[in-house]
Amino acid sequence: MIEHESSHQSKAKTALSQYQRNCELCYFQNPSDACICECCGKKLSQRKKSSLQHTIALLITSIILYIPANLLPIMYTNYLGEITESTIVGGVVTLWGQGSYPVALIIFVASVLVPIGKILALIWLCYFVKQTKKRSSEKNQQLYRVTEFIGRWSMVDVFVVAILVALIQMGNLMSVHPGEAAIAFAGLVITTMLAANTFDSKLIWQSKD
Amino acid sequence: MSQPSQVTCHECDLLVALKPISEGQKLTCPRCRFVFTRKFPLAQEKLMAFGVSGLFFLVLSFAFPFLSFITRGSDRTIVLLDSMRSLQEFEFFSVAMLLMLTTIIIPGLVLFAVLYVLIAIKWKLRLPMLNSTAKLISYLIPWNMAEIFLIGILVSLIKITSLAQIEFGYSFYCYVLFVLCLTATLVYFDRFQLWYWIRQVEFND
Ligand SMILES: [Zn+2]
Ligand SMILES: [Zn+2]
Repeated sequence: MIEHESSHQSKAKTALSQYQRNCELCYFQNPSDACICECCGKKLSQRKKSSLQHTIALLITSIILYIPANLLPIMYTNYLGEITESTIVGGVVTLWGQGSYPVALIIFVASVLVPIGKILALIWLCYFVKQTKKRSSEKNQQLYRVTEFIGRWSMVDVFVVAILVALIQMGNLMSVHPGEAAIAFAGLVITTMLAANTFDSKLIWQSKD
Repeated sequence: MSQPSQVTCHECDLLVALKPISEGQKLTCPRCRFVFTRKFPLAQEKLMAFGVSGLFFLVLSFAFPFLSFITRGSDRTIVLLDSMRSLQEFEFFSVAMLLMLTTIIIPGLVLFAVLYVLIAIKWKLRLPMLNSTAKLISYLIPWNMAEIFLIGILVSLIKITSLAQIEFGYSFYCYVLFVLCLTATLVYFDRFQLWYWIRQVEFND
């Protein structure tokens, strides 16, 4: 990988080729033999070591979590002794039926589209950085940024459950209990966020023509 | 020790020569458009003002009722921490912890750390753990979900408007103000500038 990099030295001045030891966190210019940043103490690594394997492992975990997150109920509603379960998709359908279209849309995008889109985007990026010829690095960098930015917003549904469970506790008259999917879904959001964090976007640009 | 004359792009690894920029301008990576730094007028003062007010409103949001739920015959009022407490009662300990961390502890710590570092910068104090605190801010910011919690509250209220009447308590308004201050702090927070200022304190006097 390093030999490959140096053959492109003349075209793109990268940190590796210049033997520069700029700290990623505080931007301090360290001497070329430094291993730890002299300013902030962060470890200076050439690349996030085995970052791709970590990303893939986290992606697999999130795909596994995706199944219980969608199949299991995210909450139980007890209304006059009658208990109904609702899943994430079920909640969207109910909201749509009630005519709250904007909210239904928000939940659908945040809880259904964003996690799938994020997983697919990261799978694509992992595949892309393995290619030897990389075209449209800019577009993929954009994709990565969007993926990184939207990840947190999937947590909305978990927070909705938290509020409803706290607010609606009136015994048999009306009460809401959290469902197992809330745990799976929270885990899903965390693992996709970690997968995006561990992904080293520099790989997108490595050995660019 | 000196300030960097060039920086490595965090996103694409390109080595970029630093040029001085004036207020209102930003410095971006020519290859991937990553924004290294943005210079705002009076950035330190704004950060401090929003940081202090944010922490103030966060503390206040524990003091009053958060939300009330009123139906025929019965009503229920909750405080901010009840959203975590009731999850815990159903033994959803992990989700309760996550909620607590991402909506109260982490955003609060971010504000606290920003203030701590800025106090050191402004009065040129070499406070203990200054660098670690500054480092901590960058690690914590991605895990802040306070504004998402707010959206979650609004969504859940829309979900139950047909069932009952909802009233916002003073704590809710305090939490909204806290989120606004936090967002403003994050807008003015610039990692590049912050470390530039820290190095001024550490090496230049
Ligand atoms: Zn450093
Ligand atoms: Zn760049």
